[in-house]
Amino acid sequence: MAPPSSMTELCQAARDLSAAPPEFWRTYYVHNTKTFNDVRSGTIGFFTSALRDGSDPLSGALRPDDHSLIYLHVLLARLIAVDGTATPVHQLAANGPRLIMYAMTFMNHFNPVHACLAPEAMEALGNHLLSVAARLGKAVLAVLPLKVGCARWATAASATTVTTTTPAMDITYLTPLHAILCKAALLANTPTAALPVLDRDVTEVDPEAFGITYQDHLLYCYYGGMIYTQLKQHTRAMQFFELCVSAPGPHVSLIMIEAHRKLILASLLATGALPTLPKYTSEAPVLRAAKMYSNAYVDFAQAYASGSAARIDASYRAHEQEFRQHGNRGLARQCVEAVTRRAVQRLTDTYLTLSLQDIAKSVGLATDATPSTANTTGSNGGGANANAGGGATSGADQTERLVLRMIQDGQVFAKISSRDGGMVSFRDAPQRYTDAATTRRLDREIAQAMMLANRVLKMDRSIAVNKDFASKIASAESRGGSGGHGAGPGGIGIMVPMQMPGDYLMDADAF
Amino acid sequence: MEADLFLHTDVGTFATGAPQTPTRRSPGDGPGDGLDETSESKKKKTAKVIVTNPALDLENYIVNYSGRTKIERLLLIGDRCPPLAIDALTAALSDLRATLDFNKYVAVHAKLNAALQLAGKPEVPLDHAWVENAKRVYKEKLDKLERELKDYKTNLIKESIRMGYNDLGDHYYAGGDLVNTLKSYQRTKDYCTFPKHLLDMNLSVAEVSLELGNFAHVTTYIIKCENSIEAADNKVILSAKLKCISGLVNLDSRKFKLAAKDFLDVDFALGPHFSKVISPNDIATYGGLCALATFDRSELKRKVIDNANFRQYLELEPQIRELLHGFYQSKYALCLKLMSELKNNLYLDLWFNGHVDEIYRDIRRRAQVQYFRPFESVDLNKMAAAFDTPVAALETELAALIASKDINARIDSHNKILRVRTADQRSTIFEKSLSMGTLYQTQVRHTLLRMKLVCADVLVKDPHRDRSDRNGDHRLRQAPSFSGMRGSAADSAIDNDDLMAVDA
Repeated sequence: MAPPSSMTELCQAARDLSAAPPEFWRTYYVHNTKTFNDVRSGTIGFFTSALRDGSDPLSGALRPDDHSLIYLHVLLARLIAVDGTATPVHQLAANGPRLIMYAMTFMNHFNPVHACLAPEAMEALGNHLLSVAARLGKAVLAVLPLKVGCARWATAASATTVTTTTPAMDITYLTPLHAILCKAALLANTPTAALPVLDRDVTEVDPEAFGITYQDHLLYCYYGGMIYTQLKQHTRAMQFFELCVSAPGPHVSLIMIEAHRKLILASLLATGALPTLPKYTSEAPVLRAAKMYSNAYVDFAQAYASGSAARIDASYRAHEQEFRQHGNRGLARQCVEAVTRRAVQRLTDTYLTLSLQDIAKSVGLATDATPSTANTTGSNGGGANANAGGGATSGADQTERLVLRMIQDGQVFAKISSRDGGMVSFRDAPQRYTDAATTRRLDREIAQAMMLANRVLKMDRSIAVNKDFASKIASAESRGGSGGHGAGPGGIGIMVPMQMPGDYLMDADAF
Repeated sequence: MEADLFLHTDVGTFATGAPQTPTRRSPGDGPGDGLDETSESKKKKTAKVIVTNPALDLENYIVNYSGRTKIERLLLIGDRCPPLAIDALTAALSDLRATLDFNKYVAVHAKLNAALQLAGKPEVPLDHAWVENAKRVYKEKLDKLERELKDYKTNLIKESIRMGYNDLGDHYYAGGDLVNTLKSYQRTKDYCTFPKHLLDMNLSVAEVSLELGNFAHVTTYIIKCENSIEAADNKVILSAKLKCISGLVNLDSRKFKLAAKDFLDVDFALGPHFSKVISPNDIATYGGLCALATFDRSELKRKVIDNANFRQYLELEPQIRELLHGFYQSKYALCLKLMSELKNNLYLDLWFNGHVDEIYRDIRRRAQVQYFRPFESVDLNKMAAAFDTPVAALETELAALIASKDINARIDSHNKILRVRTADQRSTIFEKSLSMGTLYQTQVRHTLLRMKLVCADVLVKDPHRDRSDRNGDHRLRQAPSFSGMRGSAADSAIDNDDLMAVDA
């Protein structure tokens, strides 16, 4: 079949192929590779033109579900044309919103199996979509289509690999759209929008079908961590940064270094201490690079672990410039502010009741209204400064506000009584683990753990019957077990999780 | 022991012949000596304390000692205790006349005059005749001994050479040249014929090293002595001496529990036999206080109060005995009173002065922990009365104890009550298992994902070197080479400063 040479022809061809199976689309794609490549590289050809009757093919002639591949490329060609730097602003404003609407339609209906045939086009679509939305000044417009597309694509069975294994409910592929979605959510300042995607852990990686590279993985983890940081879910943020920092490979990417910096700060917020990286982190390159580029953070973390407010403040001041350069100053300032809160939390271990003055004294609010605290309280800043001359009373006032806020945030469980000039009585956490919710949570956790155990078991078996693995083991045994370690890079990668099942199951029993 | 090595090399550089001022570095050395100052400040946490109102009966105290330790102790008192300084220094001076240590004599004399001047009394002239005489005698005897030793060596009579070195060591010791003393004693090693000789040598080396403050050295020689203890004339006394020395070493390195055990094991038969190092009263004091600071109640009963041997020592120091019994019977106010009475004397003690504050702190902490142990809740006012401390100060002390997990309790600061913390085991176990489960799930997920990444060959590689990669060229635009990443961070314009500003 000859390649189509006009939009009308293309649509005609597409309509004829409506009911074709995926295998057909693969050959179709291979057959027309050159045309599609032209689209992606910007030498667009006829893909931007309208139908002979002047109507837009995207508005009806092409259907996103049946003709995913063609719809995708036509849409992409139009986005590229609009996204070019030479495009006049009025044209962008006129066409942009409409194209984003088409993108939404596409994302809602595209066939994931077809998308896996042209992952590069999907990625380009995501990038241009975000770029166009950003240039329209409404990055938020790109978030919803990306979210829908990402969610649909990631969970769908891939055309190339998964067809052989039984598809499970919780399989999630890493797609190139993941990182783009997170970036869009950050740009649009709507972090919660990305959560439905982020909350599902990525379980599968398939560069063949999804065209991902290590940058996609790193950026996704990095941006994801930033989103969780913004939402103050610091533990989860740590997981993402950690995934980024501990990514496998012989080299270090700058993304990993940035992630390491943020990991340290997130860890300070979550636990108050330096994070411990997993053992498999590629020690030499990552840690060496971290030492070179993140010294300020390590120093700050050490000061932080000392718990002395003065030392932390000094360290913060010393490195403030660097934090600012890296765009981490706000985060570092949050850490500084959290010191006081952490100190109050520690008091709950020691005291049942304590007067506000004493709290102020022991957390260091009494002597001077610490500038960093006064500033970060924002709207309260003026009030705190006005009171600064008042000495002990201002400390107590400030403490009262602080404790009040901590009670509201659920960080301490306490009551403030105004008797005797302010008495705070701390109590234990009300969580008694006696309600039905706990049982449900336990059930859920156990189910998840069992599912994971099963997955590990399955993987273990599939490796055991793997031909390469078996022959490697056999040759290692015949050599007296000495050569096992020096095996290829794949061997090491496989050996790590091999130890997991035993370990893990043992602990599952202990539940 | 860096400090000590340092010290030795320094001494070595100007040890050219004439005996120098002794370079003893014991806990109680005076401020006059620059070397001592630095090494002391490195090691000791307790600052030098000047005692102005001593409760010490100098004569009764010092009569228990002989030899160099007596002089050292007097000098320490001279340094730290202005009211007793003149008496102490005068006594030290008269003791020094019995030795040949003319350098020290001159130094002590200068100190005495300074003290006299401070007290507005007339100065005492230096006995130049004695100094000159001592110098002469020292030199002559040294020459003679060295000559004799040479003769012995040419004649190759083992026993004589050993004796020669021994005499030389004794002579150096009399002249206050401890470094050479040590060398001489150590040289006898090759000429020992009987185990007894070896034992003597080891003991002398241990003693001199102790005076030099070379504690690592002391420990090795104590072990050598203990191994050859069979050769001793009087095993009981020798083992008691060794226990004393090892106790002092442990005390100095702040291993108070070991020190307590050593002192408790010293046989009472030792009596005044070791007065050139330690008196029986010291054994009672050191042993008692170290035990109080480190033993729990049952240990205290078993190893100290019911220890028939140590009880004899305690008879010598009734205050320490009362202190121990008071502590055991939970009469803490009495204990603290006794301790404060003892404190000044301990500050003037050669071996103990550097550890007084730390040991006192430990004893106090132990008392507080023990006081609280039988109760559910304690009225802080009553506890403060029992410990004779203001409530506020007690509260801070208790807060520290709770923070260090010595007491499992919480302070009700408003009602001034200390309450036992009721541990909710069930909640704790729920919390723990839930967090553990989550942690494991995360770890497994991460490991699995990592494995998939490795299997799929999605590895962090240098993009510039890897252009042949399937997507290499296509991705370069976005590749996080160093400049690339800057670009991507900048173009996303995502700055946490902005994020946080929105939050606030």
